[in-house]
Amino acid sequence: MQKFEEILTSEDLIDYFEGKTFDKIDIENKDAVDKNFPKYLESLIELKTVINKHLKTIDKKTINKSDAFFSNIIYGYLESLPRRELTDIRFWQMLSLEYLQNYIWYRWYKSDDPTKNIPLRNEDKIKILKSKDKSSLFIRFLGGSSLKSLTSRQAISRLFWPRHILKDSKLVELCFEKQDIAVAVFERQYGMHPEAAKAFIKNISIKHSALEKKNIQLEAKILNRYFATINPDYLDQNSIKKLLFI
Amino acid sequence: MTNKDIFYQYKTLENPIELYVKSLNEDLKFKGKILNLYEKDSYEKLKLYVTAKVDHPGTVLPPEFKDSFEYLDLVLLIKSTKSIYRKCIVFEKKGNIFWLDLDFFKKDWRNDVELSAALVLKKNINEKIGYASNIGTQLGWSTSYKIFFDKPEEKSGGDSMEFEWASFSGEKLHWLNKHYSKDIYALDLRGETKMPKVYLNEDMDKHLRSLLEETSKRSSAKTSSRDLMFQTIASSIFTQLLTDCLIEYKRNLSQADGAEPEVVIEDAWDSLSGWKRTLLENYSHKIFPDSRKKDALNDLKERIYEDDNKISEILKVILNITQNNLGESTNEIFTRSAELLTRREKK
Repeated sequence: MQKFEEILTSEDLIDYFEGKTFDKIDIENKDAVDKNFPKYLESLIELKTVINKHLKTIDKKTINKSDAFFSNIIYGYLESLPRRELTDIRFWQMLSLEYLQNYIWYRWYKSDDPTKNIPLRNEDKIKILKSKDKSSLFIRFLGGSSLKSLTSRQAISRLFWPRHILKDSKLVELCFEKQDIAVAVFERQYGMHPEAAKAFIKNISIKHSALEKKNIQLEAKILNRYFATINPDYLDQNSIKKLLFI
Repeated sequence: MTNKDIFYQYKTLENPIELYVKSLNEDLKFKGKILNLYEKDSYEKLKLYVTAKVDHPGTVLPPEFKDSFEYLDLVLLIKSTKSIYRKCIVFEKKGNIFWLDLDFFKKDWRNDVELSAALVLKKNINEKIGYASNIGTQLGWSTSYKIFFDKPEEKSGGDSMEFEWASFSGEKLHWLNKHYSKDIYALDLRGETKMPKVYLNEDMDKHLRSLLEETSKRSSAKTSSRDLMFQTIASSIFTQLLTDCLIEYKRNLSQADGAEPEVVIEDAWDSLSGWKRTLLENYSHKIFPDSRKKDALNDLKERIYEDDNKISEILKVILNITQNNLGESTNEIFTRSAELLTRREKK
């Protein structure tokens, strides 16, 4: 598999759609070493085909409800890659632009014209990216340098990492059921700690069945405050549950 | 040893936990508490032997708890934010010595991994004033060891602003030609990603140039006048830069279309170029002097988002913020200069 040689910036993203090519390097993976046997390439092409196929059957208005579904698909194709590469934003940028671009446009571009959910021409993409109110699309394609850009912002890695951390696909469904839960957990440091993330996601809907945003944010802040003096890594799910929810 | 930014309402260890991390690979040795693994490309696996020692662990428990380690655990904390990983491992105990073995595979890690030890409460105990009672409460800390799997990124804060002598009548600075060709200094913001650049007018009076180029540190009328001039130039430039950064951050906030405040804030922040983020980060505690140092940046981001008037309040005192935070304060430099010059006059 490959990744871009350098991290792409916002200006590079525009250049990319203007036709500029960016150098790529192989990632440190067994498949990547044997260039005569590009199994990795086949699997990414397959992933692209599978995702595009599903996009045709999902209504754009409700695509934000399909995060868990896509999360499972993407995880299935990438789970065996080394963690070192999966934390490299250059890999996610390459995957997003070269293979899964349609998904990102469909999921994150709020089109004024419902017949143009995925811009087809590069000049349209540039126009959209340059329009003032679409600046958040850059983050979805490019991510950033922070932890949260991988676990919560970049359009594809934000689907992979919660699935990787939570392990359980049912929990991933709960996590993405309400976007505020995913944001509350995976934009914070304790999102890195599987037991804390699992305990929060499993129990938040029990304590606040309506899952109001303000309550989710409040509980996340309370948990964060506990972790100023209590070590989250030491606790199991049950102890964390007791801290917050009992 | 305690984290001084937090007020602990319970007893913590008086002395830091002693932590020793030793590499078992022959060629890989820690220098101090740092191991630069990226310098040795050939290693795929790092083996470590970790030991720790705690002085008087019983002092963090109520006196009636005789066997400390029935209620306490000494743990090794492994944290690597860039690798999206954190874990805690309980040390093995043999008498007063705690130890464990660790393997790190290069394919699993990115940037740096931090190792530190902590003493934690093993189980909930009955509340007693002055003592921790919740499982997992941290009661003591060690200093940290760091393993760098990648060469540390150079902090952009280390970038210094370039400055150059150039004619304000020349083509290079064409925007100054018509009305500002006789000015002394100018600032070119140079678009989004590049650091701004300061220009000094090479057509300025030769006496003035000689004064500005004076390198002596000896206190004299000449050096004092030079310092005054540089202070004036620096404070006006930093005022402009900070104003520019704050206004852009505010503008980004109003343009971000995320629904959740945290997403809006971080999107607006991430949209700033690197040098702007660094400048605001460096000045955040000066802008919010009542915040704790570690909270100042978050306070800045959040308060500008939450309160539409906050930016006006900050800009109202921005000149004062820069005046007081350029090494020596403007007050000190101006006063010293005034004292020197008035003394000379009296003579």
